[in-house]
Amino acid sequence: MELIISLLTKSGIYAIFILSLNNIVMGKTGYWAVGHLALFAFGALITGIMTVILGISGIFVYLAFVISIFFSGILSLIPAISTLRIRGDFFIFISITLSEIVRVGAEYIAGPSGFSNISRPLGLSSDSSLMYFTLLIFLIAALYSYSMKKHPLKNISILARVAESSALSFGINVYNLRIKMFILGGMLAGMSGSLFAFYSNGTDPQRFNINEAIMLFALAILGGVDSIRGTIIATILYVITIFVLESLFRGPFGIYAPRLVSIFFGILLIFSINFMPKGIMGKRSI
Amino acid sequence: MKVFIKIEPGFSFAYSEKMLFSIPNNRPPLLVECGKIYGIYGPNGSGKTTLLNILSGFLCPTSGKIIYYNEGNNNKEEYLAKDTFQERYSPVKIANIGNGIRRIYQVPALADELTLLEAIIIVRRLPKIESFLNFFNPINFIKRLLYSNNRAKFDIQEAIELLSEFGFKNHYENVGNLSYGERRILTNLQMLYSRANILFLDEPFANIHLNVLQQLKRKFISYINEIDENRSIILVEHRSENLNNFANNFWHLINGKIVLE
Repeated sequence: MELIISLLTKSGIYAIFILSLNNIVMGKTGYWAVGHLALFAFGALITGIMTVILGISGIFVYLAFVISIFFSGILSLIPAISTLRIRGDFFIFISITLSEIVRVGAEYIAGPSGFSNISRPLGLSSDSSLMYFTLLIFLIAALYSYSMKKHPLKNISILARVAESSALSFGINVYNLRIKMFILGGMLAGMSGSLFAFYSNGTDPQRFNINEAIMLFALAILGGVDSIRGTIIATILYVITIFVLESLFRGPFGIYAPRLVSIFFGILLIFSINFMPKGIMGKRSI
Repeated sequence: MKVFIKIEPGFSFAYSEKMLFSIPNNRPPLLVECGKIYGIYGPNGSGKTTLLNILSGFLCPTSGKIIYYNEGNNNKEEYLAKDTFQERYSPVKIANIGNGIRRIYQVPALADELTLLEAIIIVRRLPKIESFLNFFNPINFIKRLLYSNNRAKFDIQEAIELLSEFGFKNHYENVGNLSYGERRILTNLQMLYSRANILFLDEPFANIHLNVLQQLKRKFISYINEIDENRSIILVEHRSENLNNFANNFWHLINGKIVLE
């Protein structure tokens, strides 16, 4: 039972993150945010700073939660504003650089093994309550994301992504819209990072490195860009595969087990791009 | 006659060193008045499309200025001159002056993923409905989940009538399935649907069948003659037979000057 609760919480956290990546940032703006994990790490880092270094506890941890979301939104201004001048492949470099900067910064502030003993907010100290909270947030985010299909913003973002000059001459402020989408995606990613800090009671730097960023980006593509069902499938695939492979290979391969997981996902991504360019549930190939 | 756009004497545009066109200081200003159709013509490379790009804010004039009379906003004047607007925001700002200024491109810029109906409806701006705040409003959020569409019915009806008139049977087909000529017709329909004050048309009638072309011309003429609306059209066209019986004012771009005829 504990195992199921743990896996479900983890799925919820990564589902929020992948939703922000493949539905909002990649889906609505079309920019390949490979280093989107930076915002996840930043959310976790701010939560760690607030609770461990500043020693916030009890009901005020909710405040730390909100503040870490807010700061992740501010950090996402960096990739957002860079899109005004940069497009295509160059943006990927900016994104990856940002994720490396945040990782190094986290290591500098929190030490090589990250923060530990992060206190959970009042009322979420048990594992099951955290699971319900995470799944509730994912449900709200997914429903909002779904409801965008019926909002004019959906068509506007498609036009802004595909035919920018046309959107500009129709009076759509493309740049403004793009920045707002990046901030929204950044805030969601920061929220999932903060939840991850609560879930694992610490900030394990292994979860924020570049391998992980690329793996999660690959999963977002595998699930299908701009698809909520794809997000859920990709997340469950990720959480369960990691759990199964790591517990299977932990015996014979020891510390190399996590690397085998990377190899597995690498092969999966190659097959997916070859045979399913639209991903599992996606409607458009990237 | 009500004036929309005034290009002041002293206006000029140059690509680095190559001077494209200018209006000398001793000439009268170039005016765009309502109810008129302006035809721009000239040899290849004389800067016809560039002139449209300047007027719609994608490029800034090298010297001089262009004044837009914004009738909706207490007749406030917006103007475009060197270093006035931030380069990236001026097309949006100009497109939202008055009831709007819309343009089409030489190569149709359409989103393949939209349906024909969506591609036409997207031309009109509804700032309140389209805002981000409206998207997060919980009441509207629940309404969106329960009901299918919150766009006004008559808006859709108008677009459907326009599409059926030009022989598009399936309104829910993707734009990606259309041929090049059909795309050109669709961009013209976008302009007819837009209710904008000024339309900039860059070779709107290329690659279009003759019968449809006549129909489009009639539509555009009735568009600018609609009662209680201040509208005018500026178009670039190579073929003189498309300009005759349609445009009533001509701007001839020749030898670096804009000559009125």
